[in-house]
Amino acid sequence: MDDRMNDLDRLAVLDPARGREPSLAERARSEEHLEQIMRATPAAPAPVLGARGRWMLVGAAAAVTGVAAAVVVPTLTPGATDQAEASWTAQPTTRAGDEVMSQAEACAATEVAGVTTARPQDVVLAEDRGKTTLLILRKGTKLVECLTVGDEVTAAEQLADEKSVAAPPAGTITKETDIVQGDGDDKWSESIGLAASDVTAVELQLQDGTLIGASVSSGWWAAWWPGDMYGKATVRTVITHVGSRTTTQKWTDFP
Amino acid sequence: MDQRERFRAIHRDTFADLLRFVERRIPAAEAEDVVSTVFLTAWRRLADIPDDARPWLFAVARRTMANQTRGWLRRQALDIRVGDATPLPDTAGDTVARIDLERAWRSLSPGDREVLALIAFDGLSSDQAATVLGCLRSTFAMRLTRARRRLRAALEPDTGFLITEEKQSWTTA
Repeated sequence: MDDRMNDLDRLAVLDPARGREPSLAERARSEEHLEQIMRATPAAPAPVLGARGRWMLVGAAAAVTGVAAAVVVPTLTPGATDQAEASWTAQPTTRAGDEVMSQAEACAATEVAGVTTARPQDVVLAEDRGKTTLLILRKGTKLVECLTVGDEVTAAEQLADEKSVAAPPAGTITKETDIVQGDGDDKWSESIGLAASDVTAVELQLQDGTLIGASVSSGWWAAWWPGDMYGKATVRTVITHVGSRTTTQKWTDFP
Repeated sequence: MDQRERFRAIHRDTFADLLRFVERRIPAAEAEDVVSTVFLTAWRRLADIPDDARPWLFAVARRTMANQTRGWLRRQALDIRVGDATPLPDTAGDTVARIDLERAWRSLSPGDREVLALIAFDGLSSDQAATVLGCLRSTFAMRLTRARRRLRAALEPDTGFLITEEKQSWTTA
């Protein structure tokens, strides 16, 4: 070997697919599959991954308690995570149901808790952080949380049957679900819980001091942030506001 | 070009590369199913596919593998396999070098192997590799630099490999 060869050139000798060419049979099978796809979907391709999208339970790191159920993530297309994290803001912008109907419709069209049609009154909580909208949406009797970038749902999670949700005692909140998704340095974290009806605001303070305002609406609070909550982006404290009164608790005090 | 013709052209241009990309990461017996799913996604998202379709398809394949083969992946992560040790025709020194290279490769983390493989095996530029991983180009460049440094550290003690500085061709589209 030439010692001056680039190290990456050297690695090519380890390539398990080096010199691998598809056989004629493999090509023929794939081409036939292609024609089947086009025959089965004669109309123009859907612009948004919706009800026809394929949804699967995947290996998102998730910790769920009382009212949270399955975490489901679609086959993501490139770029959504970058857009979400690049435009993220620590303080959310609260949105009304009729302001997020396109995102709500995309969330409703997922197969998580069944495909439904969204109405403004089905939006339980909605916030924007940059290009990302977080929704808690009523789907029949069930509640589902969706993160969307534009109209593309990048994550969806079934939370609970609405009738099974019991509000926590006055002035308190619970933590119902933690989720970490993404790869390598591009992970993001999300946490959702219940809030008593008198809770006016919830803030999360990360280990590095970043103060994140959670959204509070209709008995729920929710927030997401770039980084791994099980790594460097760990939450240190949770600050619950009831009017001018605040209560600070350690994150680890929440089950 | 109508949609069907564009779809067929994308398939014609990328099928072999996509199959190789997948077979580097999961058992060959599962690869065709993953590739089929990628093209199904591609048809549904045809309007979103950029002119440079290959990294877009690789990114979908990567997500698909992470989803569809999760049982297998729990044990293996999205790791890169190593090719069979085909006998080298040259010298005993080449054989030793390959053994050292394999040893160094196996000592790296799956994350480092992924970054290196995107360039060295899949033949992508840094821009394209960043698209596959869904990260910024600068983030990928940093990961690549670190992975190469660790590869060099794993090679140097025993082999005295001279690792040249990163070539521009690896970092530009």
